[in-house]
Amino acid sequence: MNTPSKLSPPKRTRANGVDTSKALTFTFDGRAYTAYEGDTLASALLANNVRLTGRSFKYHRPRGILSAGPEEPNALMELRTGARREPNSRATVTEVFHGLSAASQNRWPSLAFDALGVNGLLSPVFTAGFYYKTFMWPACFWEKVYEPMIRNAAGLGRAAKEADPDHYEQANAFCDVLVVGSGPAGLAAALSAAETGARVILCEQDYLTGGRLRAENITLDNKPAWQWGEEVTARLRAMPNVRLMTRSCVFGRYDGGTFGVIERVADHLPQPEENQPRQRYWRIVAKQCVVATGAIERPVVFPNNDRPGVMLAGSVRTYINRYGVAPGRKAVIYTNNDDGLRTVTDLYQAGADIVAIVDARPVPSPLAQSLAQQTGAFLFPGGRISNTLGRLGVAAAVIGNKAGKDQRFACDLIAVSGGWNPDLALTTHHGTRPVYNEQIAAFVPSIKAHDLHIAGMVAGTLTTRDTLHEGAEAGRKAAAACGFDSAGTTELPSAGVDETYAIHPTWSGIDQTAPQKAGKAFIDFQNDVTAKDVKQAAQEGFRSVEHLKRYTTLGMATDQGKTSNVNALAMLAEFTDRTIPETGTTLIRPPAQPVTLGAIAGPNREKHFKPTRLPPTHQWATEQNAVFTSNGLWQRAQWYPRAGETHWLETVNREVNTVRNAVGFCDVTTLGKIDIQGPDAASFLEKLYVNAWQKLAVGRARYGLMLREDGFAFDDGTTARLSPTHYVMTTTTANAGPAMQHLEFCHQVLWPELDVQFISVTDEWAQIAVAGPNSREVIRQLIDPAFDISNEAFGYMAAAEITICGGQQARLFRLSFSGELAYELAVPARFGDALARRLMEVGAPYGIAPYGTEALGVMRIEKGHPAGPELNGQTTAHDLGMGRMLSSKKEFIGKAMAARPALTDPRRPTLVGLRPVVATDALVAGSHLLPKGSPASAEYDQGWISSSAWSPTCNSWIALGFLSEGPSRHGEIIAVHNPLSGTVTEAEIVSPVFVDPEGKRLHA
Amino acid sequence: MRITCPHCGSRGLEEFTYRGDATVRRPAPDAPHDAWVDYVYLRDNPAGLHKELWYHGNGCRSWIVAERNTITHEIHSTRLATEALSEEKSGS
Amino acid sequence: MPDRLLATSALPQEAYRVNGMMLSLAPQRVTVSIGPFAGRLGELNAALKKAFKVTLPEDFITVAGPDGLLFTRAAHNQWLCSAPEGTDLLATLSTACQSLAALTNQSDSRVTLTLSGKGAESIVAKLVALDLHPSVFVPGQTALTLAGHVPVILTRHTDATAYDFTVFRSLAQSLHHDIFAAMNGGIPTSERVCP
Repeated sequence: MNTPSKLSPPKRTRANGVDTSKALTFTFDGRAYTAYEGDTLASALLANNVRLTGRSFKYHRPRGILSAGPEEPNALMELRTGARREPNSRATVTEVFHGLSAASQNRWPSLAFDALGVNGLLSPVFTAGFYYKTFMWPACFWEKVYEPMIRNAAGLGRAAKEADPDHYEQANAFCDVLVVGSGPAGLAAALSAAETGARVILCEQDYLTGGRLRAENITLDNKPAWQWGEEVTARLRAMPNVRLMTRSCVFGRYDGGTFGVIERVADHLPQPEENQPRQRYWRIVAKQCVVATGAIERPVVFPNNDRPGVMLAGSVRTYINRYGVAPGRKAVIYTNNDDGLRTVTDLYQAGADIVAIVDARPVPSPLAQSLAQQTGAFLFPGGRISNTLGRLGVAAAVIGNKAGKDQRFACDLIAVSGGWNPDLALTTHHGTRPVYNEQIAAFVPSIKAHDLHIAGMVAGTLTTRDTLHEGAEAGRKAAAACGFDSAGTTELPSAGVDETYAIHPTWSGIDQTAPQKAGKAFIDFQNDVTAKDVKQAAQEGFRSVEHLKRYTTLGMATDQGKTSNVNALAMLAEFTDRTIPETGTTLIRPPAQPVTLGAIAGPNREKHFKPTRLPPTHQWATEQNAVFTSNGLWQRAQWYPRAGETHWLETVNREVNTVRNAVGFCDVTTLGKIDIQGPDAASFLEKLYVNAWQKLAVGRARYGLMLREDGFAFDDGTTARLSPTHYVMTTTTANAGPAMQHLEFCHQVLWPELDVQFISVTDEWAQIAVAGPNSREVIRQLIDPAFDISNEAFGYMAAAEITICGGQQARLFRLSFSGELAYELAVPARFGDALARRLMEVGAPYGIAPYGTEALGVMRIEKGHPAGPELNGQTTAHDLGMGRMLSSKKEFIGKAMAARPALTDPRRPTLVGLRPVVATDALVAGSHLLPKGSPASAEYDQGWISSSAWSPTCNSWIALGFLSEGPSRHGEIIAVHNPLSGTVTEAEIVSPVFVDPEGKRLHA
Repeated sequence: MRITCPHCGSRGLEEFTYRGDATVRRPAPDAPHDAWVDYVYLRDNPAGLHKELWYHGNGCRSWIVAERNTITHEIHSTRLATEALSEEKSGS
Repeated sequence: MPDRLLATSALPQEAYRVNGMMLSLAPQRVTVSIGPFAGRLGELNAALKKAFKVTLPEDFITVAGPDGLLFTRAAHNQWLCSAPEGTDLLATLSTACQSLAALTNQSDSRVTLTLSGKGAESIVAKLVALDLHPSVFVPGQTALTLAGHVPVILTRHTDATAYDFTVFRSLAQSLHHDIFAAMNGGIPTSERVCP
């Protein structure tokens, strides 16, 4: 029935949710249809007599629209095209816009003729556990045969292949009372809470407020109930203390009153307006919450209950009352409760024929009798639907009477109600299991939390009157808990009629005694799980609901079993001779509804995945065509290519040679810098570092190593003493944050008695390393004449506060990472850019060039300085060749544990240098070190390479590594095994200091 | 999750860094090896109330002792580590 | 004698205007951090009271002293004192504080971005997980918090509709991008725009 009737669509009956003066055009599977403003895709398709909307997941059976809300398992669509194509969108919550293009899924070549429908014929093999049992061996088949085959056949829609062109936002909101749901309970709760003056946020997933008030043909204060809903909504909108959020789904309840909410900002538009986010991910923090999420109707399980035209009875009423669409002309109503009988009245008033009323309850219902009389329908008290017929939709129902005698009735709609399940999701997100309520044959929340109130259908309260009162009371209680005066009462409308429910559970409409010839009876429509699968699982011993779920995949589709879980577990109870409470239910985890990943990522994607820190010379380096690299959050110049250089290594070699032979400079601002002051500053440093600090002279710097408390190396850097009580510490770039945290911990938790103050000055100072034999001459060009930087006056490891360029405050440190005569010059950050430019100017006669982190890395390997690859959290001071730095005269972090014999065992891999026997043989970090000639297996493994580089200074590859008993093995030839390339290279074990081991250049 | 910083008030979890058990005490420098192993590696894993150290690094940089229920994640109290420790030292 | 070095701003000076709001770089000020030494806060406050007629605020607020001096609480045990460009603040404070506190120049550590205009609150709410209701985050109040992933000192102006984001200099461009993106995204329709 995909081909719409040749008749023009019937005129809409009066509806509270669509504006029939505003027509829109949309397409479904390429064909154009008319809708009205306010329609969902589902209501518009029904209004155009389109009943077949998709094919099922496993058996490719024809499926139609089951529901009118977010619980929809069947009517899943691909919306839009190109980069905005989104699969698995529920037609029942998709707002139609002009030009919407929707397509059915899981069918090929067309919806009406689907080649994979043959799976339906193979169904005897596609039973519970099919995949587990079939695709077991041989093991190698899994990756090559089974998985590609399954992947090809499975899955619902197709995701867009292009990157998502839309953007998403995140936002925070705070309130006293969050009300979730704007049905009668939610509106009453929001109103009563707001009347006390509390700050209220009301979230409604729908684009209209009102909930079931719009779905039912009922009155409040003698007016249509939805009008009361609109009046209250208008009042709430006008209150300054209320924030009303529609199209906003509260998908999760998290700790500390935090809720996750997705606002669909632009999903109802063809595409977002310029700069408008598509969706907004809200984090709402509420002191109190009223959950008024309503209930979800249960289908009835009977053979072939999945044909298009089988619809939830309450959803039939929604389509009639809210959208003015009768989903059928000849209807059979199948219910086990009085609520389902409302559908008889509404359909009848909408002009449909009521063919039959199948009332599953054993005791005849007076209401059913009077409705049957009124509408001329056949009444089957205690009856069941034993089958349905029709090719692509319901054409007839086979109804069995109480005695078991079947009779066939032509019809195009079967409205089913198995009762209502409270929509529990938000009440179980903290792990509280719901309890079974016999009276309404459903699970209800059991949660008792000081900040959570549950009102209306979600609490198991099923009449409008009680729902309103419960909502109002919950709102007041919530406001009172926030300290607001809740003495007044909220004026509530009077409900028109007394509503009855009178459910008698019908967990299975199947006659278990009769042979199962009629066909599949579906429980989970989206994952195609049938009553037979549940029975089989029970027979095979899967008695726990959790096991049932995983074995049959029940409830594991995108709808998370909203319409199926309770039917399934009730059936499991029946098959295993247990009660429903004994069988129990699964917990519902967030998200309560599908959430777009883009919204969770928000603006933090691509380049803005994380913030970027820019050093003061960034702009200048960009002008120099520097290539940048990420170093934590920092962007640093990696190298500075020059015209004519064809390979990065050429550039880096040139930069290294420049430093070794003339002078170069490099922005080292990114190193963490911490200003430390106080009478106990020196004592504090003694605790932090392994080496001694009390005797460091003012105007001097010292290298320090910090351990973690477990004795392994944590961080290193130099610290300079600027006055008897004032130090400036440097940390590695990567550890600047953790080091500050460590200092705060040591000060606040371990040694609060130490009188010391510290603050980060990383961003305060632009610090530039000037290195190379000509560096002193270059510095001389900048420094004010009052300062003497001769080797005698300002030797290696000197530190001073100076002025440069005619009075500019600066700091000068004689530190060297490269092993050359070198300085680090610091100026307030705003002058960093100018300093780089000035260095280029004044350094030009001395052959100056900037160098990047790559050349920096080459030179520190040449000099044997450990860096990140060596300080990897698994190495000790001993491993780094610094065992002798550990002071025996004082206490420091990590001292006790560093003394463990295993941590100083000479057999531990210890820092060495490596030089290939053939200079051009590349050494690769991560390679394993093995005795020469031994097999490349773990038992012979003696260490690894941590850093390697081509050294233009040594004209050879060189490497740093850790080798068992390394320091005593200098001169030995060892095998370097690279398991990735499968190569073995021979290398000589040497001192880790490749360049100027005596330190002559350093001290020049 | 929200944590109430004694200085800054209620803040999102993202402003804090977790450290762990706040009841362990650093042994004296000359304490036996076992005491150090206990301090560095061994932790109880109680179901229920647990005192934990959190660092408000993206806020006021305080170290905080939070009493958290490990079953419900509810935070029952928060104190500045400096205050909690000085009280402990003064023997109350 | 070489020429003096010229200062460079971390961000362009021009203001960005969108959706009736404005994002601009606040005038640069000189800033010094004050970290009282152990047990000296009382004496320090007395000294500051004598010199500037103010004490360091216990709450996370900014208090004003003479000559445009502002004192803001900036950590559990630190305050930032700022003054108009040109003030020799370190010297002034050194004299006033004697040796009761660590004083550290912070003038170049941070820059301040000002977001103003009707609806600014809703833009701040996109970045900051703080309750910004004027009864909770009152005008004049300061918070050390995160704006997205960037640590900031957030201050609400006393006129209530403008906010200062004080951010580490190296992160200023990133934060500027984030605020500008949030401004472009517009004011959520459910927003209660603060009068």
